[in-house]
Amino acid sequence: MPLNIDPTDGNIVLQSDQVTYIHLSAFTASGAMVPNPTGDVDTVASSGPFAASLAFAVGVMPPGSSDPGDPCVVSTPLVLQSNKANAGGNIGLVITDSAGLVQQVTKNFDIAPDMTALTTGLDMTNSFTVSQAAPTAPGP
Amino acid sequence: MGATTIITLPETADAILAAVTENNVDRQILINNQTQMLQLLQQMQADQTTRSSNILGAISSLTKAVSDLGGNLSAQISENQATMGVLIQLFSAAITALTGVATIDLEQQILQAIERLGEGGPTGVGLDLSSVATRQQPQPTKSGP
Repeated sequence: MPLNIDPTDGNIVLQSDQVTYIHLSAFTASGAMVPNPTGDVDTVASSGPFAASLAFAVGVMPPGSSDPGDPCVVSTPLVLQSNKANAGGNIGLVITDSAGLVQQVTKNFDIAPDMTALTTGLDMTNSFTVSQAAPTAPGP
Repeated sequence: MGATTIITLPETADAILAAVTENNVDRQILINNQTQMLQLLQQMQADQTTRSSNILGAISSLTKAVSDLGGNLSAQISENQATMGVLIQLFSAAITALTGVATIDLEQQILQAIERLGEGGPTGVGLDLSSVATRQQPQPTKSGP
């Protein structure tokens, strides 16, 4: 599935109710993807003023993805929203490689709540009552 | 008239003839010796000419060999310099790549760095944005940012 990219700044927009897995790979000088060197270990961390709003971890691509079992960066939003709308976002990703591979240029991240309507239903936490005359019909 | 001295001619003639004969023999020996000496000198001259020619040929061959050796040495030195240049670049890049890395065994780091420098080896790490998956999670309770 494609990532949601903010067209105004190129940031990757993560949905706050989703954990996002992005394939982590080694690249040659020409930009071709190749397997990581044997024994190579990557660690990741978020950076920037709102680093605490987004957790990064190294994991593996889940079953059903295009590269199951391959290393990936697991991105877990920790807040409902962190983007330009609330003067947050632009969270950086720092990759440290034990074999000394240099981090490729990586986009920054924003967090946005899911605003796409999929279903309809009652908000059971939000109700209000108004008195009326008792009905005359006995029921049921 | 005075007294006549009688000379016994035959004896004298014999002596003269013997002396002439002996002289002829000596002269022939001398001539032979001179001829041999001349031949020897001629042979020596011929030998000297051959020797000189051989020496000149040897000098020419030696000059060419030295020239060839110089050319080969020059080419070898150039090749070695190029090889050293590549090695210096390789190790310089390896050392650069290793700067700041201190989490694993140094030997392993060197091997990995050199391995990376080979054709097609990885030099960078990053995200493959074409391979993404998501899983639902509960909405975070913090509002942000």
